[in-house]
Amino acid sequence: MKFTPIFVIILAFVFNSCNNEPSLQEYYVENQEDHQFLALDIPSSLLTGDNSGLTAEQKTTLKTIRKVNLIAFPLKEDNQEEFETEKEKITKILSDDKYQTLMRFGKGTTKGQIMFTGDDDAIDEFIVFGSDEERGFGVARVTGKDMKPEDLIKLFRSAEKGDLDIAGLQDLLNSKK
Amino acid sequence: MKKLTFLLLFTLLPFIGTAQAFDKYEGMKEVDAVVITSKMFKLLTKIDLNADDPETQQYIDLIENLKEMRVFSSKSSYVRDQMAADVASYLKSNSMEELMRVTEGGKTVKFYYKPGKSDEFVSQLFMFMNGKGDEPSVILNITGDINLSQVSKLAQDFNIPAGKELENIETN
Repeated sequence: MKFTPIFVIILAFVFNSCNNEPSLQEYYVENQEDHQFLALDIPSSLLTGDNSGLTAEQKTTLKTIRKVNLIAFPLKEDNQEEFETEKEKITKILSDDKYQTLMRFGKGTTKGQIMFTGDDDAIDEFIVFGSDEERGFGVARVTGKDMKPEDLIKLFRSAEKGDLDIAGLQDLLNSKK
Repeated sequence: MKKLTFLLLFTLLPFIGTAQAFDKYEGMKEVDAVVITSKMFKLLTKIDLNADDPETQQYIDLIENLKEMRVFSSKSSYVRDQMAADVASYLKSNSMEELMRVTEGGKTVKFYYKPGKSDEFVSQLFMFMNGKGDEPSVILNITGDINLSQVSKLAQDFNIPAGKELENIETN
């Protein structure tokens, strides 16, 4: 087979797509020590306070969660340039096909996106990305194994109502102050 | 060489396929945008709906067969003009059929569709509301396998701008 220019172009395409793009996890690890960032990593063991109010179903869901983490880049007066660079980086990571979009929305300078990785009914990662031109950006992730997205959302709702006791989390937040 | 051409075509296809009309509005500050994918629709049916009665089941069927919904709305006069122009050229290049038209107090709402598998089903539902003053201009594009008789319920559930007009859709 002769190496025609077209063949080389195709090869370039193929290798590009096989190239291991940095994952969110790598981005998190890389930047969690950076003072510009705000990072929070919560193993699911901390999510279990007194959860007697939860249904058996919700408890099972909770067990599929491994950890919750958050990385944010708050925008300040002097870091506009870094903000743009980092936002570009994270947007690029999230544009990978493995991050499947559930929905996107935008209002004024605020944008948000909800995504997941894994199979439709057994997801590995649930991701919420939000950015605002005036306040910065943030990515929250719930990682686990074979999480059922519908159960996960139901659990989030119960957390809003206060059924899910995140006592461990509150202690952590207090100790950081 | 033929193989190669095919290969090239396949490599490029995803890039061509993702280019969508009205994409640019998603990035605009003056525009409120919502994009909901089929995966989200499927998820929603699992969370909020119980298929106990046949009517809900029909609604579930509708939602499960939606591919994508895009809503762009804006009150900026500059964007409004652009939307009107883009919609006009979009309708021209995509052979769509008019479903209905409502004119009410200075605003015009037009619905278009692409025929689907039967009279009741369409493969695309497109709406443009040309608003004035406090009323935003809205582009709404829904693709999938859409049962027109169920669409009005969507408007209630998703809080779509100009949803009132969507509720008026009925199959005659």
